[in-house]
Amino acid sequence: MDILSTEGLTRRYGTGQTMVTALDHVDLRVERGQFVAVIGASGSGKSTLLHLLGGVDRPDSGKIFVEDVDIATLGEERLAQYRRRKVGLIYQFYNLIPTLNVKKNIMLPMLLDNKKPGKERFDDIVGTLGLSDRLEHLPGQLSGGQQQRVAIGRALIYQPAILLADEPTGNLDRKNTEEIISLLKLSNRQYKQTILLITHDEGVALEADRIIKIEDGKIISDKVVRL
Amino acid sequence: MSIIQEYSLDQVRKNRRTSISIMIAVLIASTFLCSLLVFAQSFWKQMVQQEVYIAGDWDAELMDVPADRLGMIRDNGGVETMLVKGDNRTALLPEGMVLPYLLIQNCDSGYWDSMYEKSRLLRGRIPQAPGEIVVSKDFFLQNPVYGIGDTIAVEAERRQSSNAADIRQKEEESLTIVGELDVSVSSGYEGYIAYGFMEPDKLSPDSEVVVYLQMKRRGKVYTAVPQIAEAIGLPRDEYGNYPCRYHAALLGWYGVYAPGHFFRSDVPRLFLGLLLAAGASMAVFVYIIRGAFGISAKQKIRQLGILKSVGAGPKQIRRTVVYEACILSVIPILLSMILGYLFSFGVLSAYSDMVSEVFGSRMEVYFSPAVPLMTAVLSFVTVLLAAQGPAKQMSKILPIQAVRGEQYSISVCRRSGTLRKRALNRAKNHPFLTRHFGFLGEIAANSVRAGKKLYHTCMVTLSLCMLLAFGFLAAFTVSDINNAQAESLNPFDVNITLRTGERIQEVLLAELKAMPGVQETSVYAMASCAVWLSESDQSEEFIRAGGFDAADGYIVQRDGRYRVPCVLVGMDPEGYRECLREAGVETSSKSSAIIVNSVVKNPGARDYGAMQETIPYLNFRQGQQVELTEKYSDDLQGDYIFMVDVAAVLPSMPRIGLDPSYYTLPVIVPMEEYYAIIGNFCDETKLYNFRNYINYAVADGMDEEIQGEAEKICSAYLGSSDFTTSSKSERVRNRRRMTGATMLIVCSLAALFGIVGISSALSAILNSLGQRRKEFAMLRSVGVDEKGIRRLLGMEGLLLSVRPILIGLPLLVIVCAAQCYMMGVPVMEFLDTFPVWLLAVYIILILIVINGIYMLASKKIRDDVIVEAIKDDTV
Ligand SMILES: Nc1ncnc2c1ncn2[C@@H]1O[C@H](COP(=O)(O)OP(=O)(O)OP(=O)(O)O)[C@@H](O)[C@H]1O
Ligand SMILES: [Mg+2]
Repeated sequence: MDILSTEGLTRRYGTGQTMVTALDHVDLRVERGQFVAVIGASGSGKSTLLHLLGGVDRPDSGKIFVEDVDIATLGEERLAQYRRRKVGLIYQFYNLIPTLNVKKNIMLPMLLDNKKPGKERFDDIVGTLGLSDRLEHLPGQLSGGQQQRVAIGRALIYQPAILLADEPTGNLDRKNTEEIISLLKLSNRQYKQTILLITHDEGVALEADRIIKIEDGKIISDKVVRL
Repeated sequence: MSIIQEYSLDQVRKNRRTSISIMIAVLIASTFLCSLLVFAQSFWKQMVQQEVYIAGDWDAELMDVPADRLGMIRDNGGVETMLVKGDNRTALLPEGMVLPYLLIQNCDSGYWDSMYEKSRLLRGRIPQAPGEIVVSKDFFLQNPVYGIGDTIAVEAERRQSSNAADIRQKEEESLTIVGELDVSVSSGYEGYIAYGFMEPDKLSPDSEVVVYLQMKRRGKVYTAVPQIAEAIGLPRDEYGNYPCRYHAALLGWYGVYAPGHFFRSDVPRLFLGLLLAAGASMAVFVYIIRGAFGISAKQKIRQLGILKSVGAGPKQIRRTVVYEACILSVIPILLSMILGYLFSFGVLSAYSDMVSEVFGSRMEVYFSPAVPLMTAVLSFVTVLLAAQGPAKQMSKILPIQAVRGEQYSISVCRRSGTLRKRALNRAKNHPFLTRHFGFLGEIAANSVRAGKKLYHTCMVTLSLCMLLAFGFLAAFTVSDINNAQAESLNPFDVNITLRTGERIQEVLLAELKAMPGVQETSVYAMASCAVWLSESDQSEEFIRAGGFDAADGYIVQRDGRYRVPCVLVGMDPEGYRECLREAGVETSSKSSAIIVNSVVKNPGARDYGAMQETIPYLNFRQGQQVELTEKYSDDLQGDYIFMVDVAAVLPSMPRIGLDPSYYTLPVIVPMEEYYAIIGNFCDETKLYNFRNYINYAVADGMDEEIQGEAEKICSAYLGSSDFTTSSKSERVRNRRRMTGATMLIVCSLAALFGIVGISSALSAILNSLGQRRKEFAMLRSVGVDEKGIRRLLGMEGLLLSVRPILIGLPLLVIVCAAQCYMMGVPVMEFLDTFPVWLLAVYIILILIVINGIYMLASKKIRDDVIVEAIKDDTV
C-alpha cells in the first residue's frame, strides 16, 4: 500500500518571464516502509518536493496523498497536526529555535501537543545522536554537525510515519554520516518508517531501497535498488 | 507553563530592544489614557463639588411636609438621608437694634452637614444644639456691639412661611450666636437672617418643614420621590404635581435625567466627547503599538516558521504573539498608573494654579480606584487589538516562506531575479537619489523601499502625532480668537449682575447709577418670553433671507403659527424715554412697549462682521397690540399671557450692553411695567427675572477701579452670592488664564503623543539598522568605504526625517486653514496666537533625533568588525 503519492505535483516561483518551474507535474508513489533516496543537481527541485510533502509549502497544482488524504486540501489546523504527528522534516539548514535548549528543541513537536516522550526513547535517540552531554546547551553553542543532529532528533522524536530529510549529513564527517544513516535505517526497520532522503553523497544513496533522480523539476529516473 | 508560553517569555527576554520599544509604547499609551481619565474624573468631581458647594448635596426636595410625616420619609427604603429645614421663627429682638426681628430658619444636623449654608460661614461655627444660631453679616455690621459667643434674649414666634406677618404663639427664648453667615435679605423684611438648630423628632406635629432627600439609588429619584410624596399624603397642585423639586444640576452630573432631558443636557455631550477622544487616541495607539508588534513578529518570522513546520498550529502561533503582548504590557500598565497619576497631578496642579483665580476655587486631583482599573482595561484592550493584526498575519504565512525568511532589506532583492529587477527599476524611478548619489543612492533608496512597512509606521506615526497635537492647539487658538472678537465689540467695560431673587432696592440702584467716573451707564432687567405670529407678520426682507422656516430650532411652528422667542427688557424711565426719543415719539400712553425690529441677515455667516449685518424682522407698526406669553418653551410651567401696546419700533437694539441671540425679538418696557408683568410669572422664572444688569462704559484703564467701587457698594447691601461684577480687563485676564491653562492640558496630552510618535519611530529605525548590520558589513567587505557608509546612512536619515514633515505639515496647514475659514478668523491673527514656535520645536526635534540616531548608528556600523557582523546569528 502506498503511504505517499503525488499526482501532477507542480510548484512554480515568480511570474512572467522570470518564472521558475521548480517542480513540473511530478507523479510519485512511495510504499510504507520504503527508504528512498532523492538525488539530482543543485537547483533541480529536490528541496521543493520535500517541502511540499512535508506540508510546509503549498503546490500550485496537483495532489499529495498521505494515507489517502490529500494534504493540499487540509485546513491550517489539520495541516499543523499532520506536520506534528505524521512527518518529521529535517531541513537542509538546521532551523532550530535559538532560545530553546537542545532538549526542548528535540522534544518540540511533542511539547506542542502537550506531551512528553518516554524517557527510554528519548535517552535512546539522544544517545545515538551523541548529544547526551549537550542537552542543556543552546543551539548557538553547538557545532554545525551537532546542530544537524539536534534537528534529526527533533524529526525522530514523535516516531513519525514519514521522515523527510534534506541532506541531513551534508555537514558531517564520514564516521558521523555512517552513524546517522544507520540510525535512520534502524528507525526505518524498527518502526516501519518511510524515509525520503535527499543527498549528494553516492555512498549514502546506495544505502537506500530506491533511488529517484530529479532534473529540472521532473523525475528522470526511478530505480529500486533492493526490496 | 506550556512550550508556547515559555517560548514567548524567552523571546521577550532575548529581543530586548524590541521588547523595550513595545513596553515604552504601551507605557506611554497607558499613561495617556490614565491621565485622560484622571483629567476627566477630576473635572467631573470639581463640577460636582462646585454644585454641592453652591446648592448643597441633595437629590430632591419635598416642600410643605407636616412634621409628623418625617418618620415615614426616614423609613422609606429609597431614602438614604433626610435633611430637614423649617420650624421657622420670627424672633423679636431687644430694643435698640437697627432692625426689630431675627428671621430664624432651623435646620437639623444632617442639613448642616450636607447643605451649602455651612460654606457661607464667615466666622465661628455652625449651630450644634437648639438655641444656637448663626446670623447674617449685616446683623454684625448694623449692630457692632454684638459678637460671636454673645447671647440675646428674644421673644420668638413660630412662622408658617417666610412671611413675617403670620404670627402665632410667642415664647421667651435666649439664643447664642455662634457664627456669621455671608447671606443677606432684602430690606423689605424687617429683620436679619439667622439659622438655628433643631431636632426633627422634637418638632410639634403640626409644624411644616422642607425636606431634602439623598436617595439610595440616585437613578430612581424621578420615580421614587413622587411615590414618597404620595405615600406621605402631600397634596398635588393644579397640574397634578407634588410640591417637590429635583436637584437637576447635580443629578445631571451623576448621569440622571428627568425623562426626555437626556439629549438636551451638556453632560452626555461632554461624555461623548470624552469617549471620542479616548477612542481616537486608542485607535492611534493601536496603530503605533501594532507597528511595534509587527517588527517583533517579523524578527521572529523564521522561528515562527520553524515552529510551524514542526507542527505548531495557527492558534498556537497566534498565541505566541498574544502571550508576548500580555507579558510586555503588564509592567508598563502597572507603571503607567503611577506615572499617569504623577503626570496628571503635575499638569492639573499647574492648571489649577492658573484657573483658581478665575473660578475662585482650586481643582483637586481626583484619583479614584476606578481610574487604574479602567486604565488597565482600556490599555489591555488597546494592546490586544494591536497584537491582533501581526498575530493573524504570522499565523497565515506559509511555513517555508517564513523559514526562508521573506524579509525586508537586501534579502528581498536577493531572493529572486524578478524582485531584484523590480527593485532596481524602482530605484531608477528615484532619479534624484540616483543622479546625486550614484550607486549608493540607489542602495539607500532600495533599503528605504525594502523596509517600507517599517518606515511607513514611523512616518505615519510622526505625522499623525503632529497633526493631532497641533490640530488640537489650532482649534483652541481659533475659538480663543473668536471669543476675543466678541469681547472687543462690547461697548461696556464693567458689568454688574444683581440677583437677590426679589426686586432690587432703589437705594442700591441709585447709588450704582451715581457712580462717578463713568461715561455711560445702562440699567436693565430682562425676561425670556415669546410671541405667536403668523407668516404674514414677517417683513419682506426677512422672507427673502429665508424667513421663519429657515430659523429651524429657534422658531417653533405649530398649526401654521410660529412661536418667536422674545426678550422682555425692563429699562429705567430715563433710558426708556431716551429710546422713545430716538424713535421720534415724545411721550407714551400708560402701558407701552418699544419693539426692536431687527434680525441677523445671515446667521450662518462665518465671520463676525457678516454676522452683524441686520435686516427688518417683522411687520410691527406703532400703535399695534401684541400678545406675549411667558411660555417660551414647552416644558415651562407658567403660561401667563400679557398684552403690550407698541409705542415705537426701533430699527436696532439700543446700546445697553444686551445682545439678543438670533431671531429673538426684544420688547422694551419701562421698569415698573416689567415688574408688574413678571410678578405674574411662575415662581421659578419670576425669581430669576428679578435680576438687574448694570453696565458701565468707562475711560480706558479705569474699568477695574470702577469695578472695585461697584463691588464695595453692592456688598454693603447684598450678600456676596447675590451679585457678581466683571470688567473687561478682568475678563481678558481670565480668558488669558483659562486659555493658558487649557493650552497646558492640551499641550501636555499633545506632548505625550509626540513622545509616542518619536519613540516608536526611533524603535523602528533602531530595529531596521540592527537588522541591517550584516548588510552593511557585506557592503564594506566588498569594498564600500567609510565615507560611503556615512553618506548612505546620512541620506537615509534625511529621507526619513523629512518625509513625515513634508506630509504632516501640509495636512496641518489644511486643518488650520479649514478651522480659520469656518470660524472666520483672519490668518494673520491666527498666526499671531498659534504657538508656531512649538511646532518648530517639534519639527526640529524630529530632525535632530532621527538624524542623530543615524549618525550614531553610522559610527557604530563603521566600527563593526566585519566578520562578526556577517556571522549568522540564526541557526
Ligand atoms: N522562494 C523561491 N523563490 C524563487 N525561486 C525559488 C525559490 N525557492 C526555490 N526556487 C527555485 O526553484 C528551483 C528549485 O529549488 P530547490 O531548492 O528545490 O533546489 P534543490 O534541488 O534543493 O537544490 P540544492 O541541491 O542546491 O539544495 C531553483 O531553481 C530555485 O532557484
Ligand atoms: Mg535543496
